[in-house]
Amino acid sequence: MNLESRKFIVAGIFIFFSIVLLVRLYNIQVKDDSYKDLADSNYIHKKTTYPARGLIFDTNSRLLVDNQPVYDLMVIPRNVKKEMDTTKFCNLFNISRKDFVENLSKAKKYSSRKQSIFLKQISPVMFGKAQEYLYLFPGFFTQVRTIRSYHTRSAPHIYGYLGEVNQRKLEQDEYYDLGDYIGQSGVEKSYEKDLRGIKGEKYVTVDAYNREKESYQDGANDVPAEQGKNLQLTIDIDLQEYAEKLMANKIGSVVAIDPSNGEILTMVSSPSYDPSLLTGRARGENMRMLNNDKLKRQLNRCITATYPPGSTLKPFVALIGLQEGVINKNSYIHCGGGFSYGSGSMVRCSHGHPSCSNIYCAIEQSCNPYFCEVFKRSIVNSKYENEEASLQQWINYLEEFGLGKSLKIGLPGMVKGNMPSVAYYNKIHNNEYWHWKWATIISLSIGQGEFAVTPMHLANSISILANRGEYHYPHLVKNAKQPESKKVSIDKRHFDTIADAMEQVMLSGTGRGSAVEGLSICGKTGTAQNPHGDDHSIFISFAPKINPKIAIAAIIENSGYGSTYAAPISTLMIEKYLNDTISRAGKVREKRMLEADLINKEEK
Amino acid sequence: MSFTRSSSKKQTDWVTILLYLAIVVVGFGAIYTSNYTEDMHITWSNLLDFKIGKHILFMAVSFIAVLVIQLFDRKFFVNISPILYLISIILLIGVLFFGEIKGGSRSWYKIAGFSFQPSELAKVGTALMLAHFLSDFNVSVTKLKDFLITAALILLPMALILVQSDAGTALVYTSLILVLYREGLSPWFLALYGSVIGLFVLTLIFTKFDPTTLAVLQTGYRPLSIGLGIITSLFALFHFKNKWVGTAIVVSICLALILLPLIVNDLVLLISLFVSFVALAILYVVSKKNAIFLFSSVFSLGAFYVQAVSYICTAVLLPYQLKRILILVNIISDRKGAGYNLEQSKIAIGSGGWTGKGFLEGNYVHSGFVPEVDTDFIFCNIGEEFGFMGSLTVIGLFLLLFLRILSIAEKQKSKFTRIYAYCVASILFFHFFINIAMDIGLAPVIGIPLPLISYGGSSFLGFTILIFILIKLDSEKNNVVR
Repeated sequence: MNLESRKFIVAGIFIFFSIVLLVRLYNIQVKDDSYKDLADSNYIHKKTTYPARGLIFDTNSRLLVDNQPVYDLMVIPRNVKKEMDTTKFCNLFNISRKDFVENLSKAKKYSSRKQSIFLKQISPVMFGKAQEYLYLFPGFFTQVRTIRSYHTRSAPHIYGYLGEVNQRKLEQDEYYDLGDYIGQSGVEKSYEKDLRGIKGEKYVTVDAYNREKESYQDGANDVPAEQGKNLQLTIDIDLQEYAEKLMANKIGSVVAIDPSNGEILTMVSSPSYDPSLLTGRARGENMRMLNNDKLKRQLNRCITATYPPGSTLKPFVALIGLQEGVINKNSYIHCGGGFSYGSGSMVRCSHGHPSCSNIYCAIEQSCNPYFCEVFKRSIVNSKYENEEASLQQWINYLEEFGLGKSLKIGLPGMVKGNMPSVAYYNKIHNNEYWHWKWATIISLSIGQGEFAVTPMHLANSISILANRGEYHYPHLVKNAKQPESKKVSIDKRHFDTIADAMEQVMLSGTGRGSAVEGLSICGKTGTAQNPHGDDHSIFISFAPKINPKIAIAAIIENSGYGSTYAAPISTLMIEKYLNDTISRAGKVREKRMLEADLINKEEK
Repeated sequence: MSFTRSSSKKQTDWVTILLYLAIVVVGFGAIYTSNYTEDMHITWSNLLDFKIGKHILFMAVSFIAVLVIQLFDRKFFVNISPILYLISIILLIGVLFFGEIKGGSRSWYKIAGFSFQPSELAKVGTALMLAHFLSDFNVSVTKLKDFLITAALILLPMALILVQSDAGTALVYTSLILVLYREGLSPWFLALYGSVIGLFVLTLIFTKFDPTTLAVLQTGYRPLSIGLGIITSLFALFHFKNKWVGTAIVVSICLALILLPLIVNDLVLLISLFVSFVALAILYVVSKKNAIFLFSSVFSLGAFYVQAVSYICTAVLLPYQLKRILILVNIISDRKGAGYNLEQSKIAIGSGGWTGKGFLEGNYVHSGFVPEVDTDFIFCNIGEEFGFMGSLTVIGLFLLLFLRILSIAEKQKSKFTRIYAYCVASILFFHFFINIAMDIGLAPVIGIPLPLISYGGSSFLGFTILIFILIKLDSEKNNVVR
């Protein structure tokens, strides 16, 4: 047996199977034209199907934001024939030749193989025409998308708006293609990944004219688009709308929180705008208009505008004093119409009341000298090594109420505000001749000085106070992932004391004009000094006193004392929320608030 | 056996190297076009963000490997073979515990960001080990003991790779039967190998499946057993010539087994066929090789195999594997999933025509219809962009390479080098044939790369090492003995 001759068998096997491949390839590639036709006509088109964006509901499952279909004219530049009848095309879609060239080169610049939008949101009439004539223009096709439609004109700052995805995002996230919409502010931005859904793929066969014929293989390979997740807000849309009505023609913010769970019930930034301005074909124009708006309607003042808290800080100053033991609830502190702190400087008390013999009176009358003294005792405190250490402790207490932090409420862009800091004072008030002491920073005691807080911060802190120190993180989306609630390090009994004092404010103090019969509202007025014009009116409140259901912070810019506008608007909202109706006495206040026009007052 | 050193001159086989380089160039072009987009801007700094850049890195690493191979002499390779084989086996076992799962099979090591497939090293290890064992002058595959050891050497890595769910790579090892055939294994084994594959496909064709659930409605036993019976009877008739009694006995045994399913169910039939095969085989030995028992036992074995395949389909093969195979033999006509891929691949290749659409102009592949276009379906690029002439060139280059390796093998004085060369040719050939065949619907899509063309660092490096060890061994053919 000659084994060497077996090499011919092995070589023969190699040759035979190579020939088998070649014969088969010859059949497919040369003899059979059908594959060529299939590929030439590009007979299967892969189309992207867009998911509907998740819907947005209010706390009672009322639909707020919905979708409506629109049609885009799409293009794949490499499939556009050079010899196409552009004149006819331009007439059909009512565009100029220049637009045509510009749009096409923009699409080409993105990609000549991938689809991009040629004309956005064409009218239904044009869509009809397109269906009829598009076969004349290979490379062009229509695509359905959905845009937002709003069931209410309220709360645009919370929803935010959509816009075309920018270049940077396109590169970062594979999900997006040129011309896709993406949430650019509000919950549309912060919950983009939930809302956007999952894009689908659809295979269709087309004829030689690129007209769609049918679903390829009955859609066996299609991947259906998956609708985005719905979002349920904590907003109570009735209360939101009512608050917006009250805030009409006023500049400012109202934030209401349910203290028992941190749900944000209302968030009004006024003046506001109709959210439907920023959807649909006129979006670009409206966006320019809003951007140039003098009143900055687009700004969400609740989380971006900062103010000194003014007298609304006093309950917290008192809380710290009580916790530190430098006062008790029956401490007498002399008023005398002002608080002197060396070299003739004086914090005035303008309220004209006898000296207070307890904390209730001090808060009720918002007595400045009383809180200056409490602050002084908190800072000059033998418990601590020096004034720096005790100030640091004082600031720590306030920070436990969320002040000076960007709260993760579910909206992008919340500012931190500003808190006084030991380091800051050391920097500006420290040299070989002079070191700062409690008197240097006495204005902190009445909420002025380095403080800068947003209405959201105020609402959050009053909500914690209302809940007697139990801190539920404020949030805008139901079932959002929240950290566990925590307790601030001030005893509950001190909160009870302050709640009683704040109730006094409404019964006989600075807020008595806004009290609501039958409701145990606790409040505190404030006035934020404004170097640029009239002072801002501030009011923080919660109700009922026991087991509070709502806590509100309201700021009305340039409207003077807290008791004039901020207090009545807050208590009307409390009444509306807790009683569902406004009493006869309330109707008078309501009318006054609805009619007050602070924006156009100068012109009048 | 001893030879005097006739010459210590090294003779590197430049033809093989040139063929190797030509195929590498084709692969570079194919990988470039399969990942080509008009808006890609490759610079030195972002080179490794692109597959073509990584491929260049693989080529550089492979070049270093080629240089390293030059440092050693053939004696080293002979001696290292068992160690390399052992390392391969250890790595194959290790990957089952420490491996990464990629594409459904746990067959990758991940080290410092690089993935490495031990089954590629195992091909080299097994080829060297086989050469090492069979080149011993006492050893011959015709001896039962040696045959069993040889079979074990091949089946061990094969089984380990099969456990990784990498059936395609495991099947590559079956190609080594060509090596054993060249070294003296009976041609009947080759026939058996062919029959196993042929009967498998035939069984599937004659089995009736429920098209949606893939449940077996009726096995292909009856038509195939009749066919086998007729062939066996003809052989018997030819063998016994005028002895009609012998023929009659064979025919009646066949007939009995063919009619058996009329009275028993499928499972009993399967067992009965096995029992009758064993019984007839024993009778054959006991009766001192009476041809009657030989014929009828071969028939029983064939019938048993046919009946067993139906069970294998549902019990051993994974549903997607069965589906791919069934699509291939046109059992299930709807082209969902795997069928869609094959259809797309055929359209891409078929649209190439005589000369193709030109480099980088393959719009069908570029439209993204063809999946895995830089690995399993990389031939689509060649078919679409260079047409039948391209196919002819690539297949021609591979065939020339295989024939060149065979001719190198037969020039060797050393048995070791010859056996190793046959291993290299067989492994390369199996990859080459199956990869292209699966793109054009001639083989199931079992996911093995086209040598030196498909994208993938481990496989490129593996094939390069495989070939350059051969070139190194061949260059010393005049110095050596074993």
